[in-house]
Amino acid sequence: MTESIDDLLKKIESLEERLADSEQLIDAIRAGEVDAFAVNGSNHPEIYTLQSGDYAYRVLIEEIGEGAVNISEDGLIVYTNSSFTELIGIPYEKVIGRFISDFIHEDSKEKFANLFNESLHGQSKGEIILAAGENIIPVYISLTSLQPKLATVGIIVTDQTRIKLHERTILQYQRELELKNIELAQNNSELSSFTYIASHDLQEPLRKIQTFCNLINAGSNEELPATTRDYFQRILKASTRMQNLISSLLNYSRMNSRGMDFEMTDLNCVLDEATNNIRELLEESQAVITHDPLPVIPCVPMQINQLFTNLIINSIKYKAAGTAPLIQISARPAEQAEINSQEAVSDERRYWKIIFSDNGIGFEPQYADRIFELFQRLHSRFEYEGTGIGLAICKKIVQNHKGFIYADGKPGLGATFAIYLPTTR
Amino acid sequence: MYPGILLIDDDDDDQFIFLTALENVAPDSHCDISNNALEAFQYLHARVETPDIIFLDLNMPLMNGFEFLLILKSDPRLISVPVIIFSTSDNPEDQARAKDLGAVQFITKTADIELLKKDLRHIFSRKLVSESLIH
Repeated sequence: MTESIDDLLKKIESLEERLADSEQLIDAIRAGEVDAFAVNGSNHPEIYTLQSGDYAYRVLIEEIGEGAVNISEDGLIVYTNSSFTELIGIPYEKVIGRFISDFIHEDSKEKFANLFNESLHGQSKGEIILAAGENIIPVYISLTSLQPKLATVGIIVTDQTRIKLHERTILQYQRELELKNIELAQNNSELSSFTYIASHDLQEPLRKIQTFCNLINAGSNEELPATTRDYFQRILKASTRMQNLISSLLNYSRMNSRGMDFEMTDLNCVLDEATNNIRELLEESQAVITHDPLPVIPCVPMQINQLFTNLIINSIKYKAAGTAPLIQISARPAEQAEINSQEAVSDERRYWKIIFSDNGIGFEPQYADRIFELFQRLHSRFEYEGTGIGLAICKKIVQNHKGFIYADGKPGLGATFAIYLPTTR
Repeated sequence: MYPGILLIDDDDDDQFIFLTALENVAPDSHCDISNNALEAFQYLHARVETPDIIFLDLNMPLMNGFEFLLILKSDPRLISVPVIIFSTSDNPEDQARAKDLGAVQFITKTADIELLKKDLRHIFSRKLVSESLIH
């Protein structure tokens, strides 16, 4: 304890004074009131000027990639940096002393005048077009009045040429896309009306063939030779098959997404209705259906009914020999991870995952995509009757609902159909 | 009295099939045929007697069955003639529209003539004709 408390207090007082002096100096430097200052060195005062700080600002303004222009209050250019003169392609000496309006496109003069007047009260920003000789340059400008320190307005000029070019390109793509969309919609509607009319009109002659074959079979059957009767049977069978194909195709073409009436629907009720409609088939095949509680989702009930019906009929049709079909339906909210792995998803939409799995004959996994294609069948007609449309309709219905359907299976180990349906529209 | 029938259908096969079924079900009935809706109006306006029942196809050129039905039901002399639709359509919307326009029944053409006979027997046994005349 060599120093007394009084000594220490004096020392603190003197340090506080020096600190206050320094802070005052720093404030003065910040406010631009000081160009230079002296500091007492050990033997003599040392002079510091602020030229170095000022220099940095000048370099910044000169080298920055944006145009910088300083104009007087009557619009005369008193300073520009090299970025601005490069932008308009006119040398510095031919820019200084000219009016800024000499470099502004006719169409922008009024807008610039407004921005300029606005800036006299502070700041203003906007897009204008510069014109220098042949050069027409879209720019974004930011004007700042430098009053009261300087009687000028500073302008930062940002070149918009590339951005405008991109905008134009994007607009053009957009227009092309819109045209393509219209074309596509037209093609689609033509195609579906074609399918409808073709399917409908195709049924007519077919019905006649069947009617007259039926009349022959019912009427003069006994008088005809056995071979002739056989031929008529074959004609009847073939035309019945064609009728089934056409009516399935008609059904498929009706499943378009136009004019769909979505309503919040309890899928438990839809499943009940679907199983009710095919009750005879279920009893006949002794099929057992178990299901989790199903969700309520926005959908077109008729279409979901058809979806469920087709999947159940599919499982019954391809049941394993000697075993009663067992169809298990489970439902749970889909994990976000499994949704992201699906190719078609881009948004944050949530999905329900409904799984139909059976104990039927299954299929080779390599055909998992093909079974949803129109007229694609994995078995000959002699093994299993079918049109190759049922699962195509399923896929179309799910797509109409902005969902996805995937099949999975192994020969002899049953098939699984996973349906993802959005929880909201 | 045996029913006097008018069949309006542009398809001669369907005319033949209808007549075959009718011959079997009601051999004593009389059936005239119009090949389209305009011909049918000519037929109806040329006679004092109105038919007891009209069988009407929907899909016909120039004037379809719906248009025919609308005009028929606005004619006081013909409004009470019962009309039965005889069409290939099995579309519920067509059936609802036909009913709204005043058709009393809708028969969908099938490949099975027995079904048509059954429908015709039903129609004549229920005396749909005379019942409708009362309304």
